[in-house]
Amino acid sequence: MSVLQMSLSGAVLILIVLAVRAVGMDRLPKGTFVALWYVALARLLLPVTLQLPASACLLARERIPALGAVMDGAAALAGGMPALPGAADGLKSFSEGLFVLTAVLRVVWALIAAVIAALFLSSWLDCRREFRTALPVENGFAARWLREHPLRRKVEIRQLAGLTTPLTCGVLRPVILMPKDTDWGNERLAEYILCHEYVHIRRFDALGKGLMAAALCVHWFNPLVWVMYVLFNRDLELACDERVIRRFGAEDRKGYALALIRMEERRREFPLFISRFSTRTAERRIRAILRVKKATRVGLAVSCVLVAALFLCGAAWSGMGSVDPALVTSVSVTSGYTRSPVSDHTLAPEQGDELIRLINAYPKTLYPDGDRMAHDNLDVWVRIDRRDGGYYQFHYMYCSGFSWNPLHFGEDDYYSLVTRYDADGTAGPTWKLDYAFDGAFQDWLWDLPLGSP
Amino acid sequence: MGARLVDSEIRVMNVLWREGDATAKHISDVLKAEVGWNMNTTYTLIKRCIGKGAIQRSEPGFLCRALVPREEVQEAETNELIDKVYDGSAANLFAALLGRRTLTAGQIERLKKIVEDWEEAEE
Repeated sequence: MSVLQMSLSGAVLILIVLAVRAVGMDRLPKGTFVALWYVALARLLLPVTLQLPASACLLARERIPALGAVMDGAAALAGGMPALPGAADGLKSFSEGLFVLTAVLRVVWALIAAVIAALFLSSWLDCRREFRTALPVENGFAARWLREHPLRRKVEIRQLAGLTTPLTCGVLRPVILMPKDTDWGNERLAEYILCHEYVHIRRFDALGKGLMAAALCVHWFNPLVWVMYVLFNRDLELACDERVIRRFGAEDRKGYALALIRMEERRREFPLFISRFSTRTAERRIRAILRVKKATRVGLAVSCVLVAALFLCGAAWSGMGSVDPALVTSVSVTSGYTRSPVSDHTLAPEQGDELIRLINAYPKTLYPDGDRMAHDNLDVWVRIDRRDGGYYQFHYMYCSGFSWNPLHFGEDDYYSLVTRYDADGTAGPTWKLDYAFDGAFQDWLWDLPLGSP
Repeated sequence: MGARLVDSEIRVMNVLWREGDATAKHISDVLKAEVGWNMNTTYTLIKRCIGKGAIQRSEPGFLCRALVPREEVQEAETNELIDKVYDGSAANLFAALLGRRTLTAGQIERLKKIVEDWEEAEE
């Protein structure tokens, strides 16, 4: 799955999360939005698609026409994306031009991604070096608090001169860094701070921030990913505050808000990986704290439903190029060159069914270039007719050459494309089958009793 | 000496003040046991102290010597404390120390003696 594909489907998910956030910000537990962001993040970073059974996707589209409309709209949007030049005049120049342009774009993308990664990395290393010079905190309160909050990982509390606000760093060995002038006598305030950082630690927020930074490196060209980065960090803090308030009881929230305000008076710039209090968001956080409501079962249930729904959206996206076997009337090879040239050979039902099963069994990604002309010697066109008068066009071609697929770098390239056509001939978007499809398809192909018609 | 020393650097200096000249390796071993710093961290701090003119390095073996006596740093820190927290008034700090009521009889005796000696010196 290419970066562009991941970015596109990720962008759709981000938009959905933004919509949910706009509507439900005050009504849902803040942890919901963090979970939703993680789903979108997974889509951006994992080059695998969870393949839902095609029947489930088709059923969903049938039952929920709105979902189908949204998916089709998104696919149309994606299909209309200004992609690489995809006309089919003069195949050789086309594929060469494509090759060069793709290569240039890929290099530019990789360079900028590397630069951003280097920036993140150097900033992280600087902070790490500085934080390592922190001194241990030697007072009973801190030791007692640590004993009362055991964790499978070893947590340390240290102090660092020069810090103006508390922060937490480290994933495997978390360290809570307190400013040197922390008033340990004010036990209530200290307890708030430690509890807040403890929630960050328990939820592995440092790891989440790191993964989000990685997503930003890879998808720097996608403005929605930048939006996600900012909002994700913001929502992490809000979710944390909410948990602390719920733990201490709503009566104390004014005290917590005042403590935040007091800490706001002295703040210091800290980049990227650290959970921190920030002036811009302080006002937002304080307002959110004052509006925290009691945890309700309904709220929790709604959150779970939303997260599951988003997850399914991301997965269902891949089921979109599916062929609905219930609608199929006949499957025929319209032209091709396998062992010998073939045209208009209607397949037996079991062969057709097997092909459809194979098509539905592998993940598909949107192929914005549209279908391509044949290249070289292995090329098969299959037409799958539908009851409603439309048809699916399946096109398999082998291009001798050089694959840029990172998992099959340098090997020969295979294209298996499925395009849906309506009864009036309008074409839907084209979907490209996963590389793994090729092996199974070739087995099916050689088993066909194709001879001259 | 150049810039002021920060807490972590003073912790390094402590080792030198306590034990006299020592190799960087030894300092890092001591601090590993005391504070939990790894070798890189200690070396970084030692280099910073050298940059601030608090430590002198000599070969062989990265031998370190404190160039600044403890009293000088203590005085600088105390002045800073008085200015920052006690409004520039040493009397306030003194009153606060007495108010803590954590002084033993022996310490009080010593304090009294210091004040007497100082009064004599003033005359």
